[in-house]
Amino acid sequence: MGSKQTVFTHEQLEAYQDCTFFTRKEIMRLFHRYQDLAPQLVPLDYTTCPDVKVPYELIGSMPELKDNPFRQRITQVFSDDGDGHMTLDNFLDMFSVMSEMAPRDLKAYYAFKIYDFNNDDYICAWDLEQTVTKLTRGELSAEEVSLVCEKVLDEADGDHDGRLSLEDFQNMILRAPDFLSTFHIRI
Amino acid sequence: MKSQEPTPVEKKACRRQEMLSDAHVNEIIIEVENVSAGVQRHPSLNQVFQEKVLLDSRINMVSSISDIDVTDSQRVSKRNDQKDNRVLRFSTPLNESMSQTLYSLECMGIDTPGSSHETVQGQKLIASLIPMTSRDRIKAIRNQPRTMEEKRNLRKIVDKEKSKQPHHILQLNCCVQCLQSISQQATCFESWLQAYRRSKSSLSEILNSISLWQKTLKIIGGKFGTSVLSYFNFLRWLLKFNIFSFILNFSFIIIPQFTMAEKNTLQFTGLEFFTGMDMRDTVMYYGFYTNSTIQHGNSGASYNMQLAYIFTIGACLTTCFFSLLFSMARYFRNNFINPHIYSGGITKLIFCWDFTVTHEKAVKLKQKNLSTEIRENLSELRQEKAKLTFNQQLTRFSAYLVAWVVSTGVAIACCVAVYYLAEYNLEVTNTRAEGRENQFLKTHKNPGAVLLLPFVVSCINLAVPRIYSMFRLVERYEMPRHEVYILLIRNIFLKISIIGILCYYWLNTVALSGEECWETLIGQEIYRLLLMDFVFSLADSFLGEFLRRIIGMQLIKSLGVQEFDIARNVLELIYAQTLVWIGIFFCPLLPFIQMIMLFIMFYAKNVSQSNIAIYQFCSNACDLLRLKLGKGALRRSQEAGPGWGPSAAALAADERGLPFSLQVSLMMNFQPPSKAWRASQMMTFFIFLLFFPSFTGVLCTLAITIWRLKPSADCGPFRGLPFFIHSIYSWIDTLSTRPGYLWVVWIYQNLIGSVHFFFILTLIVLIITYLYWQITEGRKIMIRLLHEQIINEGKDKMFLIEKLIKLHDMEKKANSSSLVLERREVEQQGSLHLGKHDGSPAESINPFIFNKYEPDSGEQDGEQVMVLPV
Repeated sequence: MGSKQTVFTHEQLEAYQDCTFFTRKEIMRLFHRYQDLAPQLVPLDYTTCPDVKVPYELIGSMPELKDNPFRQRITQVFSDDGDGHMTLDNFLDMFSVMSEMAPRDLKAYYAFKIYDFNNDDYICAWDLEQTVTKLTRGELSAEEVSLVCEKVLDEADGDHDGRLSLEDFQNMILRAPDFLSTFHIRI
Repeated sequence: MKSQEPTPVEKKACRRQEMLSDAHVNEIIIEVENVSAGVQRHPSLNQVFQEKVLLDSRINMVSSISDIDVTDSQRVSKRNDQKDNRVLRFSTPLNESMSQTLYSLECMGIDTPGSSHETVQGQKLIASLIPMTSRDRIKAIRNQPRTMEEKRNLRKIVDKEKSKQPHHILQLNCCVQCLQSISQQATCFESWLQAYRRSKSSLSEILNSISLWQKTLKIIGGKFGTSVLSYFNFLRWLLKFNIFSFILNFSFIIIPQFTMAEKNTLQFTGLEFFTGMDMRDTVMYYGFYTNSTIQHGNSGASYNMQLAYIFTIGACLTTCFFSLLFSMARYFRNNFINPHIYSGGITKLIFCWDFTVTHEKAVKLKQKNLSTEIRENLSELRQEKAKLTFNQQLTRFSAYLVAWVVSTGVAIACCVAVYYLAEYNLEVTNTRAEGRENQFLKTHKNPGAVLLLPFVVSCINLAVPRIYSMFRLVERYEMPRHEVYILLIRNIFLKISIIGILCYYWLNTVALSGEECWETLIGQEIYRLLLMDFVFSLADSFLGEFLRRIIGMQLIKSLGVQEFDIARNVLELIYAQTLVWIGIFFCPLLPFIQMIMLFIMFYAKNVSQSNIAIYQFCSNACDLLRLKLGKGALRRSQEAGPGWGPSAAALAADERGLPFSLQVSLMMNFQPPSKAWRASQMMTFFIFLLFFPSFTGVLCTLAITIWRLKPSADCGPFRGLPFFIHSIYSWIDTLSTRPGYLWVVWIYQNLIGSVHFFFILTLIVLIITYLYWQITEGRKIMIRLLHEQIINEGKDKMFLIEKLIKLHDMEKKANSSSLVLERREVEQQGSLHLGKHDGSPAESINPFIFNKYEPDSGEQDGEQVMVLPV
């Protein structure tokens, strides 16, 4: 353990522990996962807070994300500039939200952002179409997709304004008990 | 125009800052006063934008100066030399501590310039974080949907504030001082608490590291998704249960028994392992335990085996009861938060993508399943209107009726068969026991006869559910969900009634048959049942599922491919656990056996589920075979498509042809179970099942045993007593002679043994339940009303937006007609505006932004007050 500790100072680790749902060991493990993605890019010493970003191409190639249809959205949502390139902080943030311990509301907030493709703080019909296409690999016909979107809006849109706000989404999530266990990436 | 110096309103704002600590108004009011002349003199939109930024930065500044002094705010006013007359009236619920933080807030990233709303939220957040205990605070910080950087800064600021807080007390009046001094003490404790928390978190780290099978579970989740994972989680949960029971039994019953140093007579041959017969004189069974009081040395400490036995088993069951109850309650709370609007829907399909699935093939499969499911859902929607004719309804109804009658009949027939077989079995054992000396040869000729009953029971458990699942060919439910539930109900009925009839037989026949040690007999029987069940399910998962896959894949295509049947597997687990609970009294080591079995089962199921190599080999072999058979086979495989879903068939028809179709079928081997399995919903249901028929049934059985039955005269810890419960009675009697323990006697007589107490308790509980029920009813009405209100608010919003847009258009028209000179400007702005709208539709509708960006809405007189929801 002694050699590992030099990656972060004690305070840094403590801050990470307080800001994520991970234990010290898990943080170290995640750091090594992160470091392994780009060994020549990421230094083994983080005490000086280097400004390093791992490009999306590498993040997206992680086995946990590789086949996820939403991998691009996930990385975009959690990265600073929305381009998918991630710092270590972003990386830890992402897996913290996707961890088992994260509460429903936090998960719902980020899930909402992930499904909100055009970042306008509402899930509109266009976002829904994108989601459905990604989910079904374009197997449904255009008519079916639009029917599905219509149906979803019909079911979940609480205030009938033709799009899903965060509140609508959270309300819907309350009714979907599976969400907690499925919005989860194991590390 | 008029703002060469601080406007009066700005002064007002400054004054406000001074009074901030007293302000208790819960909103910010940004008052936008539109004076037409002033606005129209704006040279270009750019400036308006600048102003906006400036305005926002001023909001930040204004907030930042609150605790500095007035000169600062004057500086702000100087910076406001721009001509504009937008007034900020700022009144937030800032208390002392909050205004302290405002400055520091400026340093951190929370308030991006341009969103005053955010800033205030950040301030509020910090203010609310400060009085919390450190644990709650960390929890709250963690739960913030912010980036790491922001969270870290937030944490730093709050910590700083926390440490600063005692210092500021001096400035406050004495009443507050009192309060604060308490909090000062609290901050002293804080460091202790933090140390405690650290040690706790390191403890949980250790516990995490020993938690079983983390990695395997990840792989399973990656391949099969959450629903299969839930089976394994359930298994792991049961395993923990059994480990706990075993440790309890081992330390309080078995170790003391070992210290008695009575010889465990065990002759071990192959068959005895299955029959459990010759282990009768070991710690395995009830009959071996002593009824004496163990006493070592002259210390006077004694250990009463009778009491130890009954209390340990009792403690075991009580713990099981509570942990079951709590986990059940937790699942119920999570899953039925809003039960009356709980319904299936397409929305859940869309937004509940299983992020745990990481295996490439599994992802593809999942997507395919999902699209099929969506199609089904859509077709259901379309079909909803289509009504069946009377004749069709009649046939369907009669099919259901027949299926129910047949399934119930089969279950009853099984029960009857089991009962008579058991009685016959008892006779056989009887004759054997009597003829132990003179008919020695005969006994040894047929020692496996006792295995007949468990064999038959296991066969029933194996075969009948499969017959049941064939009923779907007759019944044809429209909704797959209904089919699954009905299948489940029938299977539970079958298993529970078999266990029930066995219990009846044990308690009513075996216990009263005058056997020399009937408890041990029951223990042996349960042991055999359990073991046989285990062997069967092992064989089933290795041989049966494997064979079926081969058959399903290659020979009878209509069978389709095997999918992991969660319901059947979980029911098997529940069945075994019920047996263990019943048997724990007669055979204290049963949890240990079950522990080992579950452990093996985990790996067996795991392997049988992901046994890629074997299937690959098989399908390769068949591949060759089919190549020889030529294209005919391919066509047949496509015709057999329905089982695979239309898309798979379509894929199989791909020009890649044969190998690809095989690949698809291979993937189908890893088929995550059909859509009806919504994992968490199922877990709730399973735990409920484990609780309701299973555990409560066990409690009833054991209660009857303990209160009603006479323990056998010559063996076991309760020998010689009229009832098991008499051990407790006599213990109480001995206690009442000792003055030091009179409180125990009092508790026993007045609380546990008293009918009146229970009567009153029941009454109180009933009243509370009734009140809660009424409250729930009230809440339901409330929820409905609130829901309606949301809808109305939405309508209001739409209406207002429409109005605003209309107004906006009118103004534009008025502008263009009346002020020809400024038309060009307006158009310029308008086009910019439009561009903005295109970029983000939200802003075009959001009334707040709409108004703020609106330089040419100046024609309209009067004020528009926007109240930001804070």
